[in-house]
Amino acid sequence: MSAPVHPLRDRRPAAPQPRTPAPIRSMLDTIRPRPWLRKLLLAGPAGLWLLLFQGVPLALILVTSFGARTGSGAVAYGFSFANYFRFADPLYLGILVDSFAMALGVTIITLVVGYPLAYFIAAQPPERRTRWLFLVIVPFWTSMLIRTYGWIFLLRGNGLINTLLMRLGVTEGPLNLLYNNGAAVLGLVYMLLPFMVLPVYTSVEKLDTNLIRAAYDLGARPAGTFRKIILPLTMPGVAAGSVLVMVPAMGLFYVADLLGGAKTVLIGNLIQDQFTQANDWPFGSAASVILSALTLVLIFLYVRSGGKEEELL
Amino acid sequence: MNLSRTGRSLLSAYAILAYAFLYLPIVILIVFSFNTSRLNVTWQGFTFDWYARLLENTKVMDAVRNSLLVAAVSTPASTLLGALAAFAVHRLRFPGRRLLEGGMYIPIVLPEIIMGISLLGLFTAAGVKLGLGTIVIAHITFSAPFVFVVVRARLHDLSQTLERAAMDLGADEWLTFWWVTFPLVSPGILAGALLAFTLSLDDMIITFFTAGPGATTLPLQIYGMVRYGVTPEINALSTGFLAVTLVMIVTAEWLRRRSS
Amino acid sequence: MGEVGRPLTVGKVVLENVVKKYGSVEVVRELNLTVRQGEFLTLLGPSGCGKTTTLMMIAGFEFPSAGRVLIDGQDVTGLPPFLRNVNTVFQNYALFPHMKVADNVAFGLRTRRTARAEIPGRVRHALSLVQMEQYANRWPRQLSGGQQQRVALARALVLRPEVLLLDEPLGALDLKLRKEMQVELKHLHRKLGTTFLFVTHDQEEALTLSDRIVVMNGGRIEQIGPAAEIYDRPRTRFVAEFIGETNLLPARVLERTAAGAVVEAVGVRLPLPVRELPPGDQLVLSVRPERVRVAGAPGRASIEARVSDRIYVGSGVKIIARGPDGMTITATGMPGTPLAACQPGEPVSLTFDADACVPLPAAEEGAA
Repeated sequence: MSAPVHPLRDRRPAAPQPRTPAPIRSMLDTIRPRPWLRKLLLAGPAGLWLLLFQGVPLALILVTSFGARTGSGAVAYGFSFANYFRFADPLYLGILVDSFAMALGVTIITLVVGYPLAYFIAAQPPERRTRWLFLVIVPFWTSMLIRTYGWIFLLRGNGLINTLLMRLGVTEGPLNLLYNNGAAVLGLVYMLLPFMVLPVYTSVEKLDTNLIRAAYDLGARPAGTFRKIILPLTMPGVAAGSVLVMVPAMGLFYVADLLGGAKTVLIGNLIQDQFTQANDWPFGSAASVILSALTLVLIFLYVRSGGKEEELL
Repeated sequence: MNLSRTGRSLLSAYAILAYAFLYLPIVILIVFSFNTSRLNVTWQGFTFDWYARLLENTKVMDAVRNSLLVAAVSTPASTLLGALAAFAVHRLRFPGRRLLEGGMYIPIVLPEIIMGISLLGLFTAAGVKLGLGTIVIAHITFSAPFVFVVVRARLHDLSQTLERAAMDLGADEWLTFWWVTFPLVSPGILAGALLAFTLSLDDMIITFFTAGPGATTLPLQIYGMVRYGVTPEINALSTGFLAVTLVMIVTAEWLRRRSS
Repeated sequence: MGEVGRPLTVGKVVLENVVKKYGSVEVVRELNLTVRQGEFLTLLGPSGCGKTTTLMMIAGFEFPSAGRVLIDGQDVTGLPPFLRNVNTVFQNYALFPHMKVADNVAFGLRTRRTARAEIPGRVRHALSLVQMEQYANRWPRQLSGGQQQRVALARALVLRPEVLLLDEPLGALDLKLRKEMQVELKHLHRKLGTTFLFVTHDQEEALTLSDRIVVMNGGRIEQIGPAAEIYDRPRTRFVAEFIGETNLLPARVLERTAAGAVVEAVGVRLPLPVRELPPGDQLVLSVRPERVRVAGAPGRASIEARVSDRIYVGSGVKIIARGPDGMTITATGMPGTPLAACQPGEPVSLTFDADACVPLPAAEEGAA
C-alpha cells in the first residue's frame, strides 16, 4: 500500500532548523550518518593516548625483562628467562617472600585496626556518618610523603616520642623506633588504613539489622553473632579492603625506604634500585612483571570470589 | 547497632584513639612548623621564621612553580581525555570498548612504581630527554583514569531520556550537549578535574622516574630534603602543602554535595 | 486508509510496511498504519508488543529497519527528531532539572531561534492550557508528579506540533489523578484539534480517551477501530481477551441457512448472521460477562451451572459459575438483579442473547 501523495504537501514548512551555527551544523550533518566517525572522534583520543603511553611502555617492560644488561649499562634485547631465574636465588626470593609477607602483615593489621573503626562509623546515625567518613578521607588525600615525614619527626632518636618518654622518665635512652621493619609496617598501616576502612564500612552499612535482631531473638550472644553473621556478611568489604591494601603495600617503596632505612628491602625498593643505582633495567623489568603478575592475581582472585570492581573505587 | 552500653562506649573510645592516630603526624607537623627551636622537639616560641625562609629558598620556590605548572597543564588535558573516554565507553558500542575500559583501570590498579618505570623505559627508548614535558605526559596518563571513573559515575545517573527530550524539542547534538548534557555532567567533570589537579600536585613515585635534572616538583624536593634530615622548613613546607590540599578536598566535596 | 484526491483524508502520519529489528528479533513486523488528521489514536497492547517502539519511530528516536514513515505526506524516515514537527510527552516527564518550569517550556522555542519578545507570551499561554501558570518560577523537583506531567505537556504543546506523541504519560500517577488527567487530555484534544498519538497498556484508559484504538500484539496490529467496535466486535481472540473480560465458549455449527447459521455452545442454541461467521465447523463465541443473565426458566437456551464464587465489585456483583464439562462462565450483574442474589453453591440457569455473541475463529493463525 503506498501513501497517496498529496498535491499540496509542501504547504507546511518542515520543522525549522536548530540555531546551531552553520559550520557546526554541517559538521554534525557529516558525522551523523557515519557512526564510525562519531565513535572514532569520541574514543580515539583516549584510546590513542592509552596505547602510546600505557600499552607501549608496559609492553616494552615485558620485552626488556627478557633482555640483559650490557657492560655499559644499556639494554641488550634478547629472549631469555635469565632475569626471572634470578628470583630463584635465595637473596631475591627472600625479597619476594619478605615483600609478600610484609604486605600480608600490613593487611592483617589494617584489618584488625580498621574494622572496629568502620563499625563505629556505620553505627552512627546516618546524618553524622558522612562527617566521620570525611575525617577518614582527609588524611588519605594529603600527600603520603608528608605524612611519612611526620612519622620520621615523631619516631627519630631525638624525635617527639622519644623526647617525651625520656622526659617522663619512662625510658633511659632513646628507643630505636625508626629505621627498622617495625617502623616500615607502622608507616604502611598508617597510609593504607583508609583503604581498608572505606570498603569495610560500605559492607557493614549494608548489613540488614533485622538479621542481627533475628539472631538475638534466637538466643545468640554477641560473640557468636559476630562470628556467624556479621563477619561472613561483611566479607565482601573485607576482601575489597584487603586487595586495596595488599597491592600498594608491595609497591610503596619510599615509605619503606624512609621509615625502614636501608634494612628494609622490598620488591618496590628492588625495582627502584635497578632503575637508578644498579642500572640493571632488564632485571628491574622482570621484577616489575612479577609485581604486576602478583597484583593481577590478587585482583583476579577478588573478582572471582564475587567482588565488584566498582566497589574498589 | 547491636552493642550494649559498655560496648558502645568502648567502641567510641577506640574510634577516638584511631582518629587521633590518623591525625597525629599531620597535627604535629603543623604545630612544630611554628616552633622557634631548630631542634624542634621542645617548644620554644611561636614564629613564622621558617615560612619566611622557605619563601627565600629558590630551590623550593622553583619546585613549587614547577609543580603548579605541571598541574596546570596536565589537568585540562587529563580531564578532557578522561571525560571523552567516559562518554565513549558509556554511550557507544565499538570494537575495543572493553579494552578501552580496562585500559582506563590499569593505572588505578597497578602500583605506581610500575607506571613510573614503564614510562621511563618508553622515553629512554624513544630518545626523549626527561624534563617537565615528560612529567606532564606521565601525569596526564595516570590522572585521566580517575577523571574517567568520576565522570562515568555521573553519566550513569544522567538519564538518557533528558537528551531525547531535548532533541524532541528541536535541539540537535550541539545544542543538546551544551544546554542539557554538559550542565548536568559538569559537577562530575569539575570534581574529576580537581582530583586530577590534586593527584598531580601530590605525585611522587611516577614523577620520580620521569623527571629530568632541573625539573623538580615539590614532592621530589621534599623527598630530597627529608633524606638529608629533619628541618623546620620541611615542616613549614609540609604545612603549606597540606593547607592547599585541604582546600582542594573541601572544595571538591562541597561541589559534590551541591550537585547531588 | 487514505483515498487519493481527497485532501482531508490523507493520513497525517503514515507508516508503510515498517519493520523494526533488534539483532534478529523482530519487534515490529510489517506495520501499516494511517493516522488521521486531528484524531486521538491510541496504541494499545501488552508490554513488548511494539507500541512504544512504533511511537519512537514516529518521533525519530528509532529508525525503521525497513519501510517508510511519512508525516503530512513527507518522507521523514531518516530524519532526526529535531527536524520533525512532532513532539513527545515522555513517561517519566523528562523535565530538565537544571531549569525552572518557564525555561523548560521555553526550551523548544529557544532552540529554534524564536523572537525573544514572543517567548514569554507563548510560554504563559502554554502553561495556562494546563493550568500551571502560577508555577512558572518553580523548579521541577518542587512539583508533584501530576504537575510535572502538565508542564511536560505544556512544553510540547507550546511548539504547536503537527502530532503530539504521548508515551504512557499517566502510568506513574495514582488512580484518581490519572482519571482527572484523562479528562483534561480529552479536553485539550478537543480544544486544540492537534492529532494525538497515545501509547498505553491500560485498556480502560484507551477506551476512555480514544477516537480509534490500535490493538497491538507481538509487533503486529490485531485490530483498529473506534472504542465501541473494539469492545463489542473484537475480531481476534487476543483482542477479545485483552479488552475487558470475556467468556470464550467453544461452539460448533449445527446448520447453515440462507440467513446465517445455527450454532450451539455449551448447550445453548443460537442463530447467528452469516456475515460474521468464520469458515469451518468449529468456532469460539466471545460473550461479555455483563451480557450473561439468569434464564427465565431452564430450557433449550440455557446453561445449567453451579455458582462457585461470588465477588462484590462495588458497582455490581460478579458470579463465577461452573457449567457442564467443568466450563467456567463469568457473569456480572448490577445490584438488584437476579444475578446479584446468587450465592456460592447454588445452582443457576444462565443464558445470553445471540447479539451478545461475537464469533471468533476456533484457532488463530500463529497462535502460540
